[in-house]
Amino acid sequence: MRESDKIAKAANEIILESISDGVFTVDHNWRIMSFNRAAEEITGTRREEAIGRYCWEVFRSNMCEGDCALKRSMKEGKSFVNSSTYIVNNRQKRISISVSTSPLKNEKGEALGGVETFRDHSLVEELRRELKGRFQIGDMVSYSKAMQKIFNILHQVAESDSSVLIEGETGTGKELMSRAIHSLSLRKEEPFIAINCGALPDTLLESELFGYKAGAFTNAEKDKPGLFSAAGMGTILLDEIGDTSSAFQVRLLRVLEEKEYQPLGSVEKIKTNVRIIAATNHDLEEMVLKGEFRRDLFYRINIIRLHLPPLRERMEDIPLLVESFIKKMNRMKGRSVSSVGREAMTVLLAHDYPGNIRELENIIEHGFVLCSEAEIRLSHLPAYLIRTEPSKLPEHHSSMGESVQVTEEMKILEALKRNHYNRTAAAKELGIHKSTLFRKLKKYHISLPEMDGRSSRF
Amino acid sequence: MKIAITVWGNRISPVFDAAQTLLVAEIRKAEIVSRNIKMFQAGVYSRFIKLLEELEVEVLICGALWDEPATLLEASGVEVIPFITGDTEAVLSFWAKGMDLMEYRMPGCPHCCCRRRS
Repeated sequence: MRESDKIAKAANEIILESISDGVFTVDHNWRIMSFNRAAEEITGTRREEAIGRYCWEVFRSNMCEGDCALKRSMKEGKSFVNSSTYIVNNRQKRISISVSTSPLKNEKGEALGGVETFRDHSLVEELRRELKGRFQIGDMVSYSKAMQKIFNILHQVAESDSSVLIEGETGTGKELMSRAIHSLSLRKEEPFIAINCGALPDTLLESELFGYKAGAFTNAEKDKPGLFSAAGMGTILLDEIGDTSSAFQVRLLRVLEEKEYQPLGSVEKIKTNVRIIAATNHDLEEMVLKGEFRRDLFYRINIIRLHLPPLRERMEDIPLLVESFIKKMNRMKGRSVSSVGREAMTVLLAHDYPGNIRELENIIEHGFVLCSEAEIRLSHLPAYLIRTEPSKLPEHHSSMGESVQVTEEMKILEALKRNHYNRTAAAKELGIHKSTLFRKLKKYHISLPEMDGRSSRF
Repeated sequence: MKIAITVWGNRISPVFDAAQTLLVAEIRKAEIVSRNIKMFQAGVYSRFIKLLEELEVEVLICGALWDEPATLLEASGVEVIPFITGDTEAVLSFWAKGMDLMEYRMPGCPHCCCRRRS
């Protein structure tokens, strides 16, 4: 070998050892011939153990058994670049990688085998997860500005120990929010108990919350501690507080002010240090004005008020929520559904969700029941979505961004029609500024009739 | 005792997630008394666990297995011996004789993976 060739060979070896991409070569029998330092690090297998072994025993990719890129390269004599896949390393971790393969030839052009280079994407995945963490608290995820405002103060709210009032339509995640507050608070090791106040009559609700003594009423044969006792130093969520009677509200107010309660049939008061979170799907302030909710209790629980927006006001969260439900259901049901298909997502983005996030979750669960593939498709969605949305369904949109735009355009048109093409009223209904509406009208080339809704002028 | 092995041709399937064929063998007194081949859908772990239950499989031998399905399989009560490679028949007869599968472990994998429960 000439001196210059020796130098070139040594240089190649140094380069191979110093790069961060894994590289290995195989012969015609799929036996590994060389294995660089990065390949050792990514797979967790030392070079001495790897060399001479079959590549699938060392590389352990989900492509090995079926669509092996290296096999294609060697068969077709072509290079393939950046196929995404994953491997399982020696610590039983799934590592996302991208793979490029080429046939390996000598100076005379004779085939020697193949070469595979692979790049570890774990760090990218980790950063992506971290970034996503900014949009997630507990089991709640959101990109929406309204939710971000809540997320930003939630740690302080949780640590404050004050009573919290959570308002929001049914299915907006009031209980999840309460759980998140509890788990971020200093009481996180103590119990979290949720009770739906609207579902129980007064006496039963009181006995559930405060407990009773033996003989307090017929069939009360022995003492029964209530939820305040069970919660100890933890948190109680009083859900549907707006549906409770005035008499119960008085009793609750006393407990909150005196920090003690009296079990039914008892003459003794018991001290309590439970944190109260109240939730409702009513507008309590309006109920107070109408005399339907006690003003004193309202001011007692309204120390920190959080309003959860309905899903139709945070449509940008749908892809993120869908992803989160898929992950959760994969975990619970032992499945490996990867995503929702493009057409199905377009339908999801066009629906207005009267049942809010709970409805979306149920739709995804429905998809899981019918879907036996990796992707939830249009045919896996509940029939009512397909039946009611066909006119809204765009023909074909190649990206998520396009689907969101189509939905936005439809919402604007609907709001304009409802408000007789009054731009100010439509902008108000859409929750955007009039100038934003004008910008969007221009963007979507929406032409308006001469009638402008402010007058009867035509 | 029934034992299941994820297979790829006459070899153990390299990665559990990508496997599609299951060899179920019954072992009595260190002898293999029956063999059955079952097809299954990789990645639908709950269905796979149900299949193992229906087939009354007590031990699963497979190739590379990542931690999440490993936990699900272990939780179902099946003894899992992952990161095994090589000829299926050789592994099966080794196991039937009550021997450890150390020499069939994948390169670079910890020794504890391929040991049977005491």
